Amino acid sequence: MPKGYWIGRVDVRDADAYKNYVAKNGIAFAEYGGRFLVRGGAFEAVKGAARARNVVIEFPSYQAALDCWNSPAYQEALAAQKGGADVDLIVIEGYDGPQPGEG
Amino acid sequence: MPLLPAIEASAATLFAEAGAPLPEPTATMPPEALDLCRASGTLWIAADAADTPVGFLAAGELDGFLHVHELSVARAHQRRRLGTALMAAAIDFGRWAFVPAMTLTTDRVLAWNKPFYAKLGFVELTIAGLPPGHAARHANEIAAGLDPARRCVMAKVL
Repeated sequence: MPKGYWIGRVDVRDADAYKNYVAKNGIAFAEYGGRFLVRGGAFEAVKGAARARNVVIEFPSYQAALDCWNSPAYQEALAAQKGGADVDLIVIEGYDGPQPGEG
Repeated sequence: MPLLPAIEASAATLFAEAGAPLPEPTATMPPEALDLCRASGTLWIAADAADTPVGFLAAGELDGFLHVHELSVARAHQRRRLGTALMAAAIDFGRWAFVPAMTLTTDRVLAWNKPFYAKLGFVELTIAGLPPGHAARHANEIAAGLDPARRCVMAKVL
C-alpha cells in the first residue's frame, strides 16, 4: 500500500503565533505516525516560486495523512497559528510503481 | 521507552564516582513524563549499532523556553560525543520551532556539566533573575538536597 505525504511550503509572518503552532503539531504527527522526511533543510529554488520553510512528512498511508490533517489535535494546533503564515500544503498519495530503469 | 530509566540510572553513577552523588532517592524521570516529551516530539534517543537505546534527551516547555529535563548517556557509551549529538538535535528542533532559547539546570563544578554546556554556547543565569517556572525548578532541586553552591541554571539563545 502506498504511503501518504504532506508537502508543505510556508512563509512565516508572525513568528510568535507560529511558534505556538509548532509547539502543538508534533502531537498530531506522532498520533498518526507522521515522520519528517524533509524539515527545513538547505535548498535551491531551481525553478518557479519557493517559500522559506519546507517540509515533507511521511505517513503510513494516504488515509492516515488525511486523518492527521482532519484530526482535532492538528486543527487545534493550526488555530494557534492565527493566520500568521502563508501556507501551500497538499496531502498526497505516495507512488509504489516501478522506477525508470526498473522492470 | 522502558529502557530509558535504566539509562538515566547508569549515567548517574558517574556523579557518585565524582564525589557528587545525586540525592537519594535517585529518582529517574517517571515514564509518564518521558511519554509526554515523546508525544510532543521533544524526546531524542541515541541508539547503538544494534538499535538499542543508549542515551536520551527529554525536554519540555518552561516559561516559554525549551528546557532540558534530562540528558543521560549510559555509562558504557559515554565520551563518544553522544551527549553533544543529542544536544545538537534539541537545539536544531528549538530553532525550527521558533523557540527563543534553550535552558537547563546543571552543576557548576563537574567537568561534564557546566563546562560541557558552555562549549555549546550556554551561559549561566543569575538565580535572582529567573522566570517563575525556572525559579521553582531550581528551588525544588535545592530542596531535594542538591548543593546550592554548585547548582546553576544556564541558557542558550537560539
